[in-house]
Amino acid sequence: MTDVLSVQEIEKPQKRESLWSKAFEKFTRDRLGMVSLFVVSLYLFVAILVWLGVIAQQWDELLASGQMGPTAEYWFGTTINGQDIFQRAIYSTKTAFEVGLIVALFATAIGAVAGSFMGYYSGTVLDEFILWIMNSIDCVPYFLLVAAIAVALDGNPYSMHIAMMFAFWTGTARVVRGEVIKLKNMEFTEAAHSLGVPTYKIIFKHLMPNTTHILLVEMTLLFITAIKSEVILSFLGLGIKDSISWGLMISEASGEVTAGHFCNFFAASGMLFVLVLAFNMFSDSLQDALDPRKV
Amino acid sequence: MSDVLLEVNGLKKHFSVGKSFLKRNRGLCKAVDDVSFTIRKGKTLGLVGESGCGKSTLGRCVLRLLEPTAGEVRIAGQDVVNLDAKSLKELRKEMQIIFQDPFASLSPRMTIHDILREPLDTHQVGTIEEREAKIAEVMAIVGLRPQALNRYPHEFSGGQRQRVGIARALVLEPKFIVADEPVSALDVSVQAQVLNLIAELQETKGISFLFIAHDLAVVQHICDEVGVMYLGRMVEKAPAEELYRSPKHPYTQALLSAIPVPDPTAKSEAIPLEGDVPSPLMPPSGCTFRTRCKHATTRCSKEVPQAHDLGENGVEHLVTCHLFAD
Amino acid sequence: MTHNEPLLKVDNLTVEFTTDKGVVRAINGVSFEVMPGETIAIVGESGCGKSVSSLSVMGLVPSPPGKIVDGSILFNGRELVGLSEKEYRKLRGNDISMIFQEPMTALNPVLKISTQMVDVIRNHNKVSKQEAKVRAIEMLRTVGIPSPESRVNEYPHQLSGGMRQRVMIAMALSCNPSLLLADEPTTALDVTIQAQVMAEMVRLQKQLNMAVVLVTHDLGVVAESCQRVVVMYCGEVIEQGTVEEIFANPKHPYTQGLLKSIPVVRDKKIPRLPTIEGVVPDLFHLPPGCRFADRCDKVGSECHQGSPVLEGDNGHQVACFHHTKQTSYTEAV
Repeated sequence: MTDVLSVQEIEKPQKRESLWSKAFEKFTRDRLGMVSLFVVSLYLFVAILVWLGVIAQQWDELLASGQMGPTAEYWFGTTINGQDIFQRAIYSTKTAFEVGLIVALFATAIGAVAGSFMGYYSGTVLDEFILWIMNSIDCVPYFLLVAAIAVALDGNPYSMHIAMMFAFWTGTARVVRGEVIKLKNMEFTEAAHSLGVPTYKIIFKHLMPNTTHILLVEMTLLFITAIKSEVILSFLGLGIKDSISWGLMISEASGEVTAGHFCNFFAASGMLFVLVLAFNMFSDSLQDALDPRKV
Repeated sequence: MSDVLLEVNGLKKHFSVGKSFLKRNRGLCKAVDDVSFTIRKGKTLGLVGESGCGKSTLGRCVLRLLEPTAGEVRIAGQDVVNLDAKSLKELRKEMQIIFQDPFASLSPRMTIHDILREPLDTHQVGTIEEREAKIAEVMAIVGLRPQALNRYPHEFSGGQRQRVGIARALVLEPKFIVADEPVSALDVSVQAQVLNLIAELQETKGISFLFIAHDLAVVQHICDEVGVMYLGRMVEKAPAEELYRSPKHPYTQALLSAIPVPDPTAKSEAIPLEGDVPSPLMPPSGCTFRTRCKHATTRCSKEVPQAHDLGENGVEHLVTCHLFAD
Repeated sequence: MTHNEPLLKVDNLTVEFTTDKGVVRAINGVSFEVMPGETIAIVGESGCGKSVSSLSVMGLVPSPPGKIVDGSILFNGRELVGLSEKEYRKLRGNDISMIFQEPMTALNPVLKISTQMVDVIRNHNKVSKQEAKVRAIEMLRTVGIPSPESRVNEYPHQLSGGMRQRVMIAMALSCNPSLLLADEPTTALDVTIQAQVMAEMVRLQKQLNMAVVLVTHDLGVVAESCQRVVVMYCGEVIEQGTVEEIFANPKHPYTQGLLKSIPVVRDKKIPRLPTIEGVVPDLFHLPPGCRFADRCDKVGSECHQGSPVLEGDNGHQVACFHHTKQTSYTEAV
C-alpha cells in the first residue's frame, strides 16, 4: 500500500500540535497581549490573596480619625469615616473578580448550551421559542431588569450576579447560534449523522467544541461587561450591599469630590480603568490567536 | 437469492423554495425527479453530471441523510425510506459515505483516533481491544502510519485527510458506500493515489459503491456502470465501456467531447453546448435538456421522454430521449 | 508574427513569505518569457508556486508576509520589481490584466456589472460614463453574453458561474491589455461551460493579439489552448518548452509522472492508474538537493547533493540530472 506519510514527517519531533498549543504559541508572540495578560494576572493574584485573607482585611475598620490625603501610612488616604482607601481598593479587586468570573462563566455556559440547541434546531419551533424569550429579555431596559430581579431575590447576596447572568446570556447565545448554524451544514456534521451518532452527542461533541474559540472571547468580554455593570449598579444602589467594590467607592466619592477630596474617586476609577483596559487588550489578542482561519 | 444490493425506484426529492409570510410558495426545486437504478453486490455505479443535476442530493437521499419526497430505496431488500429511527441507526452500519471536501469533512477538534473510534463507540462494536484493533486495521488499509492517530486533521494534507475519511467509512465494515466526489478537491497526482485505493477496496472487500463525480474520465476506471444526470433526471445509463464507446444521449456526447484531452495533436471535437444550465426552479417543459440540444423537436417541449433500452445481448443501455422512441 | 523581444521576461524571481513558522521561499529562481500574442501555461499542483508567480507579475503579492527578494520582471523592457503602487495601478487593467479562479468572489456583489466595468474603463481612459457604458456593453457582447444591454444592469448574483467568468474576462479586456494573466479561470466551472469559456478566450486572444499566461493544473486545457508550457514543482521551474515537445517528450520524471496519472478517457479500462509515489515535500522541510528526489524513480546519488538547473535548447529545457529519452506519452497511453 502506498505509504503516504513522507520520510520527513516521521523524523519530525512527535510534538502533539493541537489547536490550543498553536494558539498559545501565537499568543506568546503578541507582545501587547502578553503585557496585558501580565497585568490581568497581577490583579488576579491580588484578588486571590484577598480571598485567602492575606491582605486588605481591614478595609471596613475605622483606622483613622477622619478624612486624610495620601500619607506614608495610608497610601491612598482615608475616607470620611476614616477607612483606609488603599485597602478598600484592593479588597474591591476580589469583589470585581467574583462578579466577573461568576457572571462570565455562567452566562457563557447558559448561552453556549442555548445557542447550540437553537443553532442545531434552527428554523423549528424550539429555535423560534427561545429566540422569542431572548428578544423579550433584551427588550426590557437593562437596569429595570436588574432592579426587578434584585427586588425579587431580596436578601440573596448574589442577586446582582443572578440578574446579570439573566441579562447577559442572550448575547452569547446569539453568537453561538450563528456559528452552529454554519457548522451544522459542514460535512463533518453530516458524517456524524451518517454514522448514526445520536443528536445530543452531535451537539455536545461535534458542534459545541468547535465554538470554543468564540466562547473564550465571549467570556472575556462578559467579564468586563459584568465589572463595568457592577460599577453602575452599585452607584445606583442596586449592587453590592455588604461588601466594598469600586462602584461603591465611586458612589461614596461623589459626595467627597465636591468637597475637594479626590483620593477615593481616583483610587477606584484608576484601578478599574487599568483592569478593563488590560482585559480588553487581552481579549483582542486572544481573539487573534484563536482565529481558526489562521490555523 | 438476488445479488442486488441497492434498489432505487422512482426517487424524488423536491425542495420548496422561498416560503415567506407574503408569498405562499415561490417555487419548487425538483432536485431529484424520478430516478431509478440498481446496484449489484460488489459493483460500482458512477453518477456523473454537472452542478445542479442533483447527483449529490440523490446520494444523500439514498442514505436517508435527506428525506426523500417520494420513491423507494432498498438495501439488501430492506426498505430504507420508511424505517423507524432505531432500525435506521442499525442499518447505518451497512451504508456509509465519503465526502468531497477533505477540509470540512473532519471535525477540527478531534484527533484522527477519536474520529475513527466514534463510529465503533456509537454502535458498541466489540470490546475496547477489538475497537482499537479495527482502527489499526483501517489505518493500514488506507496507508496511514499509526503515528497519525494522535494528530489533528489540520496537520495533514488534502489527500491524507481524504484517506482518513475513507478509513472512517470503512471502520464499520459497510456493504455499500456513497462516494460523493471524493477526488474532486485533490491534486491530480493525489487523485490517482486515492482512486487506486478505492479500486483496491472494491476488489478486496467487495463493497458496492455509488461513485458521484463530475468528471467522466475519473469515473471510467472505477465504475462498472455509469449513469449521467441532468437537472434531476437520469438521461443515460449503461455499462462503463459501452457508454464511453457509444454514448447515445446528446448530453452525454457533449459531456464526453468537452473533456479537454491532454494531447496537443488531437483535434478538439468539442460539441458546443449553447447557453447555460437552466435554473432548477424553472426547468424547461418536457425534456429538460431541449434548450441546449441540437436535435430538439416540438415533441421534446411537450412530452417528458421515457427511458428506452438500447442494449444488446442482455446488457442494459438506457437512454431517456425522444430520438430513440419508436 | 512574433517580435524578437519578449513582452514579459521573468528572470530568477524569488519570493519569500514570513510566516509563524519562519521564512519560506514560495518561489525560487523562476524564469520564463512570454512573446507578444503567445499563450503560455504555468502548470503544477498545489503549493508549486504558480499563483505566486502570476501575482508577482501583477504586483499583488501581499506585502507584509510576502516579499520579492531577488530577480527581475521586465514588461516591455520596463522593470516591474520595486515599482511604486501608483505606477502599478496605471499598468493594471490597462496593459496587464488578471482574471481569477472564483467568479463568485471576484466580482463585488453589491455593485451592478455596469458600475464595475465602467469604473475600470474610466480609470484608464478619459471618457464619460455613457461612453464607458457603451464600451462595456460592447465587451460583454464580445465575450458572448446574450442581450448584453440588459445584462449589464444586473448584479453578479443574477448571473451563473460561467456568465460571471465571462464578465470578468470582459472587464479584464476592456482596456485592451497586451498581457492577460489567468489564474485557474475555469477550474470552478462545469466541464461544458469550461469548454465554452476557453474557446472564447482563445478566440479573443487571436482577435486582440494578446499574450496570455494561463495558470492551471489541468493539462487537458493546456494541450488544447497553449503554445508553450512551464512546469513548476515546489517553487521551481523544472521543465519548460513548446506544448508539442512537453506532451510528446516529457523529460523530467515529475512531468512524466504527472502526464501519466491524469485520468483520461481511454479505450480500455486499466486496473490501476499510474501514480507518483509519496507526497509533495513541506516547504519548511525541503530535502537537500533536488526537491523531487524523494519521489523520483530515477533518483541517483547526485540528486541528493546538488540542485539541477534548467538546461536545453529553446524548444525544450529541463532541470534534471537524469533526463531520459522517453517514448512518446501518447504511445504509452
